[in-house]
Amino acid sequence: MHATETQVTLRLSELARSRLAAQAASTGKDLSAAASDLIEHAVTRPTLEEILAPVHQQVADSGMSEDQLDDFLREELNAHRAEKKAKSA
Amino acid sequence: MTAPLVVYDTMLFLQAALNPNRRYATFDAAADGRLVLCISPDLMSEALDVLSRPGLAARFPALTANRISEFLKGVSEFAVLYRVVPKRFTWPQHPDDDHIFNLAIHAGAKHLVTWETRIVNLPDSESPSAIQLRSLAPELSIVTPKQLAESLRLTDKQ
Repeated sequence: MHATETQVTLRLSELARSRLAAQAASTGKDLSAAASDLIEHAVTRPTLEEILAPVHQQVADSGMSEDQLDDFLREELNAHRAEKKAKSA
Repeated sequence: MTAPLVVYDTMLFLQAALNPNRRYATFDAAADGRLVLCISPDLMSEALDVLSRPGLAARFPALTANRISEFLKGVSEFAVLYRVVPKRFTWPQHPDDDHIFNLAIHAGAKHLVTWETRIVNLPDSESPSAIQLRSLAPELSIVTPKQLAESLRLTDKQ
């Protein structure tokens, strides 16, 4: 991955600073590298929407109405609970 | 001001995974810090188990184990996990819901959010369970996602 240097000023609480320092120490990085990794992860990780977009597309393509989907999910939840109860009986 | 603590029932997690139109503001408000979502191992494990059922995979193959795991991990990143939740409340007629109530009681949640009419109506009844719940969580309000979204809109306007 290509990375460019960007100057920023971090304003951290004592707690956040000490935890960042601990994380840096445990991974053998300096503070800047540890903070960079955390920011990189936070801003590039996929959103829930992005993670689930293919699922939402399949739901839309299925032609199920919202009520039908809710009923289907509720049935699956009830079936799961019934199976769990039967196992523990 | 501290953001209100909320507990979402399992159906909201299932809907959030499959149908973004049913989420209203629930998960967005938790993700952006307007609400603090409380979760427990029981709740997350139930959501995982149901999302992983063969019936769901058969209908929606894109709901892979990896996506389910990423979704629940994503939710966990903005939620507060209560690792141990004492069993203080039970609803004998519907014990499957006990873990949701007990999480709300233990966390001191302001809202328990559910579509289930029987749960929404519980605090207004005079049943022994309703009386016990009011005594254990006098501040708890039980609302639908729509009602929660409306209260967030009002708060945002203020």
